Amino acid sequence: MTPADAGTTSATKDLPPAPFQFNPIVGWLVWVAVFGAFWISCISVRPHIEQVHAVLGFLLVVLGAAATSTRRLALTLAIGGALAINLSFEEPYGTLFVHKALDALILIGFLAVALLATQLVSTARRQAAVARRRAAEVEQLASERIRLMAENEHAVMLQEAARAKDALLAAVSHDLRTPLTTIITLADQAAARGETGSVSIGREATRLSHLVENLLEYSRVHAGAWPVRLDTTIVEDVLGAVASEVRSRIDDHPLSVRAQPGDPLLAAMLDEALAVRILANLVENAAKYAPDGSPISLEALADGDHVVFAVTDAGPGIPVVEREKVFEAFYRGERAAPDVGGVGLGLAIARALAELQLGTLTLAGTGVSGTRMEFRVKRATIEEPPPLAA
Amino acid sequence: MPSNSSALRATTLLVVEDDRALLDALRPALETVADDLVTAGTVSEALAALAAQQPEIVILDLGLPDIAGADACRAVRAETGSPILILTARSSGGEKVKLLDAGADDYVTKPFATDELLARVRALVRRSRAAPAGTMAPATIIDGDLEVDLREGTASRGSVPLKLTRIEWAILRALASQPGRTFTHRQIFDAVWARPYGNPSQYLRVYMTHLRQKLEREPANPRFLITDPGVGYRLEVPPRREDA
Repeated sequence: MTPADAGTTSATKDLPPAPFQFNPIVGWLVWVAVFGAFWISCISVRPHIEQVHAVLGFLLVVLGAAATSTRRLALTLAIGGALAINLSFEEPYGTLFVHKALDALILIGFLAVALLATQLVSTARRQAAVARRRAAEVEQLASERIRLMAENEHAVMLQEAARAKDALLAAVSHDLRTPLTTIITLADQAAARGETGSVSIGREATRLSHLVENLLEYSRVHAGAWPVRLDTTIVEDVLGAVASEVRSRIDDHPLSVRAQPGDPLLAAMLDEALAVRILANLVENAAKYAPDGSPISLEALADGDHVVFAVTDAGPGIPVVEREKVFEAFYRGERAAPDVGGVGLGLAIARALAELQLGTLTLAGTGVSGTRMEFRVKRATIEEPPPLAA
Repeated sequence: MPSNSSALRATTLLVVEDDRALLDALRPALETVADDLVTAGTVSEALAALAAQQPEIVILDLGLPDIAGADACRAVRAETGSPILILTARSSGGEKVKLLDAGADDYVTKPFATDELLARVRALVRRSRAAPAGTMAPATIIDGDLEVDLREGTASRGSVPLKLTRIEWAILRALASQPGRTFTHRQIFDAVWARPYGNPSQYLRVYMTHLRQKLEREPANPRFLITDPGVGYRLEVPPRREDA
């Protein structure tokens, strides 16, 4: 049952029942029959009754018709009644002539009362019908409102839940980061004093903080608690930011950066911070898995109405069977060296962040040698300042 | 001026940190970059400390019990002109923009390495001593055969002169007023355009691209005009040959 059905049902249930009414055709048949029968029976007993009895009878028939059928029927019967009284109960019988002034008065009186009563009854009925319709509408609106309020309450609850999740994650991340900072600081200082063992403490604390970071990011992406600001961004800005961010972290791998030739203003619709984060992560991954000193390339190319950022390495590549699995959370490659840190969340997070920007992150190429990761987003057009202003 | 930058020390350093353990851990390291260390556990204590004595650098943790986030930064900024270095647990771009717009000079995200924190403090000391309010430092950017004279407004690569437009010079000078410091988009508009102008965020990206095309050897892999993603831009000045 839809909510609208519920509204109508409950509306008719709570209102008083509508007054009885004939179907229009049935009404005509019934009342014309009653009218005829009354007329004929009056004629047959005419010597024993007075004119006023017939007048009252016809008036009752008209009012009955007005109350249970259409206004038009009642008006017709009123006129019919006046004719019948004139024909059958005012001398000379059988003609439309009226001899006595009193008879004419009775006739006019009958007609006036019958018409007025019909008008009053039908007006009252129309108003009652309008009132009933209004009441039903009000009822329906009320139930609609209740439904909307319930829906709204649900939405507010969901919002509250998302906010609570975000607040919890923020608090957890703050409460974990501060002690980790303390441990790392103390380990750094102990290492500077030459205390053996403190280097491992520092290294492990840093590893732990990366794990915590990854888990928090993974939960934030899945809680939908990651604010995204899509904006028309120049692709070169993104490439440059990635290059300057990873420069100190990729050891001896030479990094070549290539933008779309001849179009420095090539732009894409993305969240700059998220895009840089994805690409920096891909470049660092490449540096981690590819042989020492092997080159890494970062490039961006226009492809129809998309822009493709690609990170390519000269590493061992990813076997065909693992090609989709690498994007699964907590998956670690079969060939991954045990000393390469991480819990296997990096690519799962990167793909989720790509999708938040209405983009995709996929593995391209043959997989025979080298890995090529492609981050694809919508191309956009940057608004250039008017030439005179420059 | 000390010739060795690692010997650079602040005269007075105010550390606003409510976590005792972290403060105790940081103390010996911070004492290597400051002659005098003043500490505060809340924003109100920090304001009281600032009223008594102006430090050369302020380090401000954002998770303080009385005032949180960018509001804490704004409150401290209202009481001092000294550089503020933020310690924060959050690292989203939006958060950084808010902090920089609230008057922070730099931020370090927890957890950080001690060396990184000390390097940031020294950079702030060097920056604030080299550029007392209003003056421009440096006067020139020299890298290989590139020479940019910010005072004269001339630039050349080898013997070929480079032509920069009026707005490009204005952006470059704004960034050069504090090399190494990230300026938010809004801060750059405010410095370059006095009134609302077109679609400033996109125009700024276009001007930066033009500047990189002119000044950078590899515009997609820049050395000076660095994008801080989602936050803004900064100018990294390559070390002068005579310093190296």
